[in-house]
Amino acid sequence: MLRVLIVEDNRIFREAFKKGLVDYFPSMVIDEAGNADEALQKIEGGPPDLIFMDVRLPGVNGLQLTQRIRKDFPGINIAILTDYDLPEYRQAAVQYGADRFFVKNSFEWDDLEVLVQSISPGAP
Amino acid sequence: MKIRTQFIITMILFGMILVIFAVSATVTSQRIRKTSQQENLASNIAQGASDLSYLANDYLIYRESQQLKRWQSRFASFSNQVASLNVEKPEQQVLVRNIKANEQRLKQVFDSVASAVGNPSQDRSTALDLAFLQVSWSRMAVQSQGLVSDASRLSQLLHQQMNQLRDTRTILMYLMVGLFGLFLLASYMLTYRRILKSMATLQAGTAVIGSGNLDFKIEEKRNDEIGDLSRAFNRMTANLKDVTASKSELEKEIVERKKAEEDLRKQREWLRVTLSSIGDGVIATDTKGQVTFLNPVAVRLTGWESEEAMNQPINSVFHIVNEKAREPAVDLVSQALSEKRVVGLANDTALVTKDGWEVPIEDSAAPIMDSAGNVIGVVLVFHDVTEKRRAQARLREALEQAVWLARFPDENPSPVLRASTEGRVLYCNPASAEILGWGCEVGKSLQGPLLPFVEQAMTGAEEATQDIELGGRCYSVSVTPFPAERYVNVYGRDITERKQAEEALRQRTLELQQLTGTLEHQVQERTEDLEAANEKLKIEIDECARIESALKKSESSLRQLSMELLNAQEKERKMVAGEIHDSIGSSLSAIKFKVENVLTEVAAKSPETTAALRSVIPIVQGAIEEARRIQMNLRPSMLDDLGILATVKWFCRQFESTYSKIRISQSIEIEEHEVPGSLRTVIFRVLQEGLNNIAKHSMANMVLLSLRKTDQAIELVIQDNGQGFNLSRVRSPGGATLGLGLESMRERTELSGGSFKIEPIEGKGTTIGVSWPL
Repeated sequence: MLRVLIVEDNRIFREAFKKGLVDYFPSMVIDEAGNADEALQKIEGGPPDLIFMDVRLPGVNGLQLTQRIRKDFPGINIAILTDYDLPEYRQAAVQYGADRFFVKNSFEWDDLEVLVQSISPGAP
Repeated sequence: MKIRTQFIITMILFGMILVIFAVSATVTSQRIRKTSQQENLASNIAQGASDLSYLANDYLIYRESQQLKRWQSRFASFSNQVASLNVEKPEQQVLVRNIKANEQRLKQVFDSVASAVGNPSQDRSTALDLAFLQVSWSRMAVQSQGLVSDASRLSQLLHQQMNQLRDTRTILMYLMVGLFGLFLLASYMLTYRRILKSMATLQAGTAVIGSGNLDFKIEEKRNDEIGDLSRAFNRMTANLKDVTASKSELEKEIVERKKAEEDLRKQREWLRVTLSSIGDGVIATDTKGQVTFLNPVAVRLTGWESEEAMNQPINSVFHIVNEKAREPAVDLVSQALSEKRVVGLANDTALVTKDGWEVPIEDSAAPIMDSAGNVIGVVLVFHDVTEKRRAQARLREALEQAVWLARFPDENPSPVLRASTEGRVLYCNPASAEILGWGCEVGKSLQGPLLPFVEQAMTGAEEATQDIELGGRCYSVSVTPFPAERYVNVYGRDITERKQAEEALRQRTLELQQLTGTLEHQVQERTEDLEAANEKLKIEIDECARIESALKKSESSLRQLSMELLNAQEKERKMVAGEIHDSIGSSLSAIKFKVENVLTEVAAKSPETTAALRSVIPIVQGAIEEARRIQMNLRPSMLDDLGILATVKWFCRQFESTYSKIRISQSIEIEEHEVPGSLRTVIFRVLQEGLNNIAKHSMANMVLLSLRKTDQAIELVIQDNGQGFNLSRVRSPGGATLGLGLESMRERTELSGGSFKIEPIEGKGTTIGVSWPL
């Protein structure tokens, strides 16, 4: 049972993405957070196996949040979700310590499956 | 007659006499010996006759053949002896003939007897025989007797002759002894009396001459060798006298020679002292190039002591190098030796001293030749040119200064010239061509109004200034005379304009004076008008000040407004972009996910629906892209997400892909955290505007972009290689678009506290420099 946290401030996208995940991975336990504080709160409550992290967040942005989580919870897999398929964003994702990089509107669900299967549940 | 001749004659005379005596004595001795032989022979013959008589008797008595043979044998020897008789004197020859006759008869007698005795006849009686014997014996006795007698007589005669000969020989011997004595006597006379006496005379004469009396003459009457000797002596004395006469001259010559030697010694000493005192270094070598002499200056310059340098190779003592090429210099000594001429040193030669210092020198090498023209060594003369070089450098500087200064009057726009007291031009600068009237030419004489003025200044001997009109222009000319140097300096200044102004002023003044009259009465009423106007003006000025203040206030508020406008615009953009992202973008994404989910569900069931749905996805994707593009154009979210550096990079890349002919070279020398958050947007907007301007107007193909932090500021420089533009034209209506862009950039910069600078160069490109102080 893989536990996943989606950190995304836009409700429409968050829900659509969650729906997609549920459809693809029925066994997945999915939690949501709309901003950095909420996300940290959820993680401290019980660290997930995988976090899908939006870059644009109100206040502390996704990259800064990734850096902070990486420091306190090095075992959590973090995938950056962004609108921009640009080298600057990819480079920033690596620089701030993210494990994966997905472009919101053009990723393939099959790639996501490969990622999910590579993570063993309950690792941290 | 010469002594030698006399001596020879004496010797020959006495020699001949002696030979004659010797021959006579010898002949006499031979005759004595021969006579003695003949005497003996005669004695033997007498004996032989006796013997024959005896033998004949014997035979006759015994008649035996033995006795006969004995007689015959004896007779044979007797006969030989007789035959050997040889005498000279007639008396002796008679006796010899007798002996021979008797001999013959004896022979005959005996033969007859012998034949009778040998052949005795029968008929003959003994008696007869006896008689016969008797007769024969008697005959033979007579004959024998006669022989003995003659022989004895002969012997006696010969003995007498021999005695005579002996006497003769004795006499001859005595004569020879006497003659020898005579020879000795003659020799004595000749030698002692004659020669020695003359010698004594000669000796006495030489003694006199020897004592110094060279005027003495030896007697020379004799005609022999001593006479010759005397004459020779006299000649010798005469010569000696001559020689003695030249002796004084010889002594004088010796004195002169000694003086010459002393002069030579002094000259040598002088030469040595001169070489030692000379200011140049002097080194002499032999033909092998070994040092033979160093003067004190050479010792000081080379650093070698004179003693240690002696016989050293010249190249180690006099080690020279080329200063510039840093190579060993030409071997002057070898060159001078081989070429047999004076060799000068190349420029930039330095002498390396024993301690390794380098001294710049000039020198020359000359071969030393003896009087026969043979090279016997080389002399090097050199001196330190350090001071000379410094002096040359100073001279050069002074010259440059002089040349530089000499340009000074040439560059003077006003006429400057110098003329001699006769009015001939010694110097004139180009500007003086106008006042001279015939161009600027040195050597010509001054003409026109200038000449009397110059002459006047010269006679007055003090500076004079005068305005002169020349070629339609007016000049203020001042002449400064230098009577001692016999020239004047002339300084001119074009005052045409001033004159014209003065003239105008004068005219005006004149007019004014004319007007004054009319004016005076107008003044009164005008004053009143003015006062009224003044009052009005005061009110206007107050109004102006009020308006100005209001304007300032308004400007300030305008500025505030402008800033707010920009901020509001930015804020608006940001908001619109966020809206697009959050609502349109996210909704489109949700739609896309939905469609994709539906697709996976219906894929197997309804192929038609699948195809229709699948065609929707690219459309949705396109809409998403479009929304994102609009959003980015409004305000790139990257600026907020990643910061200014990433945004600059992205924007440049996008720019380059849009305008493929333009390349951007980026130089970013600042860290993200060093850029204040408030400047991010400004930097981006200025960059955006700048690059858009370049793309639209510049025709550039290269942009240099620099963003860096210095100690005092953050600087952004955008430089292109395009056509540039004229800044004034930008402000005209035609350049409105560009002007607006520039103004926007300037405004943004200045509102954010920075300074904006643009340097367009027409045809070369434009540089925009923006700086925000830290």
